[in-house]
Amino acid sequence: MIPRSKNFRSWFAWFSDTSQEPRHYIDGCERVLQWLAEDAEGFSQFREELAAHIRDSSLPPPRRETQWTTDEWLRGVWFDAFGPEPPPDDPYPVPAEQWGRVRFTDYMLHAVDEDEEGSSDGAAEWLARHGLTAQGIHDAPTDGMMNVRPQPEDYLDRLKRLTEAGLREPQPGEPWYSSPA
Amino acid sequence: MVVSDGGRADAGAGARAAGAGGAGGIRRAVEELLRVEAEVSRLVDGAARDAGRQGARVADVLRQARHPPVRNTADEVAGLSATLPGAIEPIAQTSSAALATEVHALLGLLAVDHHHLDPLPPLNTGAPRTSGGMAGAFPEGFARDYVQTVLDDLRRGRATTKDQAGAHPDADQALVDAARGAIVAAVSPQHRRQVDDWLSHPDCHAVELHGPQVSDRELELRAGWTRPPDRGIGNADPWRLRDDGKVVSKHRAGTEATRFTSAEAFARPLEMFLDIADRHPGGLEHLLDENFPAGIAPVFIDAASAGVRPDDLTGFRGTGTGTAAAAKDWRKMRTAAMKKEGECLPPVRTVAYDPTVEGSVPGVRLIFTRNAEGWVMTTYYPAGEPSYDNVRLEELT
Repeated sequence: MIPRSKNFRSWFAWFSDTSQEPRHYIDGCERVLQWLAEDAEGFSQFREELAAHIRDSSLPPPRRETQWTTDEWLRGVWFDAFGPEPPPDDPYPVPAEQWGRVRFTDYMLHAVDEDEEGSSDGAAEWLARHGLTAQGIHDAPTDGMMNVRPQPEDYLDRLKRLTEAGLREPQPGEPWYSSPA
Repeated sequence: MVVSDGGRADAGAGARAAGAGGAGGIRRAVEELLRVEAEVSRLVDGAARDAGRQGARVADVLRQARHPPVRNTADEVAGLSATLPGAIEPIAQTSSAALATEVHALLGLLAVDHHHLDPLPPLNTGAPRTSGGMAGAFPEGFARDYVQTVLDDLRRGRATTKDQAGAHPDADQALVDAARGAIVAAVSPQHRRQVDDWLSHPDCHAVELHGPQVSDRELELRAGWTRPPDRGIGNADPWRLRDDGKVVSKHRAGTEATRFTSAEAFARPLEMFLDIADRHPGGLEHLLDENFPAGIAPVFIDAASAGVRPDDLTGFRGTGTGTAAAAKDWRKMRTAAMKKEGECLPPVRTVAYDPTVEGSVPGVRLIFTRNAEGWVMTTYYPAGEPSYDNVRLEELT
């Protein structure tokens, strides 16, 4: 079981919301290299814990999301923050060719414009680090987009095993969940 | 029921074609069909006097749907409307049944393939069209909830054009300054200096984007086209429509745009936050340092405890953006419209909402970030619920 730590909560605040003002998310993605380089307090633990939540499906879903859609959200955050290499031991890594072609992340949607004039100041560096181009992202048609993949066949079995092993908490809506009295 | 056997045999063909595009494709196809349904209902309901003309228009609307079975129905409706001037109800039944069959097939794909739910029960086409509208024909649970949510949004939602966003008048610095002054005056004297410092800082856009001087139209244009409400003043983003009709801007907007409706409503939660910071040993800077080691402090104050009432907050949000995946689909489609050359009907719509009514835990988000000089309030705005891992004010006391 990995309950999320106070350190995780603190760092995740840079990445957890783009509903109204995505600029903090963009800032966070663009400051990652600096935080790693200066060994910012708690940042490498945040990275490890994010990978563990993806591996163990252990971050509790927000309202209206399932564990699978939550895991998929975190894969997007990982990509934006740490680059195209999937997190260690990800059981369902996203095929590299999907990013920026059928699957779009918050950084791509908010910081990368077709024109430099509309792009974030750090976008060129971010694109190079992620092996993408602004034009490629903008030319990708919207009809085929798949921002969350279908839930894999074996996913529920895996969740059940992880829950039984105590690596994650049962969540409402899951077959083995019983609501607190 | 006046649906031909040919239409029945084809039912689901459009759904299967749309389903090939993944969950995003299915959602868009469902929403397109429901938009057609909403339009058809509107026309049919007002059709008492001129059934023939209205029937022809219904047929036109049906033909716009990119689903072969629905288009086939259009011909049937056109035939009916020509020969039976009084045949309002058959027209409604025919078009509704064809649309409902397609939507049901699409939702089945979404439920089974993408959400791993049990197959949907068969569509109850016998349900009267009036009971809960089209949603009443869907089985209780996932399908009915989804259809109801999307239908409600679409009935209330509307689209704005690029030209409307481009032609909207610039903001007025004097109005922004007056709003800031009124907010500062609304807090107690010992907090006025602090609130003025926060709201006047060049990194803070709380008043500019979310103050009471912002109009509802400006919220609508922010959500629809990312046009910032403070365009034209100070260091605001120079959002513009280029000659080729593309939007160029560095301003970032999510799926929602909200504001406070009065200086008093804006001031109340700030006052409450400062009262708590005052009581903390070491004051505000220590409170934030201790609780937010990563240098960003998102604090959520719920409306009830902050004395924020209905009508104190208002906003616009994208239609059908209730899940992270749906919100991404919506934003990608908005971007595509912004970067399309020339005017276009946006593929996304927005809807007015009151966070205090619609939200599960309405309140306000206060966000500070730490820079070389200390903590700066970068933004502050109403929301229907805390975002993930926002720290509740109660946790800081």
